[in-house]
Amino acid sequence: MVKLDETLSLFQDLIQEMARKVRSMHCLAMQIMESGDKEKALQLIQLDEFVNRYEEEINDRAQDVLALLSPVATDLRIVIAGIKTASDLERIADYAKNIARYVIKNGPVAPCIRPIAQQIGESFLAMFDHTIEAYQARDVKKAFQIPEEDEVINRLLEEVHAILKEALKNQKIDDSIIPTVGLLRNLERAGDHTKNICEHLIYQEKGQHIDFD
Amino acid sequence: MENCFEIENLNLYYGEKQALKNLNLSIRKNCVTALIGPSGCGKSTFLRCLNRMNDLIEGCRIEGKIMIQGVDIYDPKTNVVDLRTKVGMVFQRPNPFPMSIFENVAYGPRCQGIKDRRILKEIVENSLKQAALYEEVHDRLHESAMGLSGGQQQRLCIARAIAMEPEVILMDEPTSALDPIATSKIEELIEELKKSYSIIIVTHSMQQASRVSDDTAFFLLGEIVEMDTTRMIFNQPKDKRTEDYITGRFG
Repeated sequence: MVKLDETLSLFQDLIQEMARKVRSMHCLAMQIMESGDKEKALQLIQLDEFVNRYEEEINDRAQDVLALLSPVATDLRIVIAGIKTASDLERIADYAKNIARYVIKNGPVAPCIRPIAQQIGESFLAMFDHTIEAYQARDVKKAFQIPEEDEVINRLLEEVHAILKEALKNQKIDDSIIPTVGLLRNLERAGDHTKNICEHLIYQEKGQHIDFD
Repeated sequence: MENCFEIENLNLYYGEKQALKNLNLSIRKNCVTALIGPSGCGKSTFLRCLNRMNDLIEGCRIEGKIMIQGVDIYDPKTNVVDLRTKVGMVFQRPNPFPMSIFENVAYGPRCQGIKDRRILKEIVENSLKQAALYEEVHDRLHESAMGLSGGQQQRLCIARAIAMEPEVILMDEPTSALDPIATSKIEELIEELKKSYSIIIVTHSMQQASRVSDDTAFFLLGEIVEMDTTRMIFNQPKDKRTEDYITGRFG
């Protein structure tokens, strides 16, 4: 294996490692949305620091590859896409952190939307997993398909709106529940950034700029 | 954009061995074209075809056409001396003549019959200026060229080629014997020279090809695998063999 292959392989391993950390943060976020466990929420906020350091490490490695190994063509795009992917992963981690902050401030998600909130969380995690699998396998076909999964998250979020509207109309709940919509919007935004990773993968492999928004 | 060379169905044989296989390409005027490929792929052989430097090689046979300004350079009526006036060449190792700096540059014009000292002086000064060497040597023009550094000698060879007012300058690995500073000066010079001349450069340095050239042709086993703008070749080559070569995975 040439040195460049070896270095790029380690670079991509680091991105996958970062993705696994981000995933574990969102798993924790889903738990605390339901349990309202503030201890765990604090832990999650601390985890974000690790993820930030991963991004810095990836940027440093990218700089080394560019300065020392002069990559071109696909190799160069692996580095560029890697930097962008790390930046999106960092943002996705921020959304998990936002959920933790919400729970510390407002407690767990209201029981009436708990099931659908879990569904949104699970849909996001499935989409995220598929994206990281596609990144690992450098699977462009999957990268084109995955963004459709984001529609599921958007649809579920619309359902949440409808449920809350109905509950407010029937005075089953008070308007203190409204920030919950903001909480779930974090998952919707995390889905958008996951779509960005699919765009980066397509750019990496094909050199094409695709916009899924 | 106008082309300086049009090459049609070019085949070259060294005895029984075919070194160039059916090459068809156009080389753009006032552009830098880089020829890249592994050793023995035919890029230098092709470069030498462009000013008939292969003529003297025993057993070398050429088929096809190489057109410059609408004239086939292999037409029996073509005057080789005139051709080499139009198509100058700079070699891998600087090869100044063992004479003064002035005489090195004045040699070509003198052979062309220019005797007037004032005109020769003007040609020498202009050529040295275009080759970005004048400032460094203006106070020792009549000293031996052999006392110059390797980088200066190479720029002197470029000045010597420029003195003939060529259309095209061929460069066969012009910086392979130079240090990074001298290399960088030659590369800057190439950028400047392409405003007035078309330049074709053979290089083994991928970075040099990507830094200095507008177009790149990738040679392999006597064939051109791919020719495109340098931007395309180094960003999105169409052929896997090109990508393998430029990324260092060849073989």
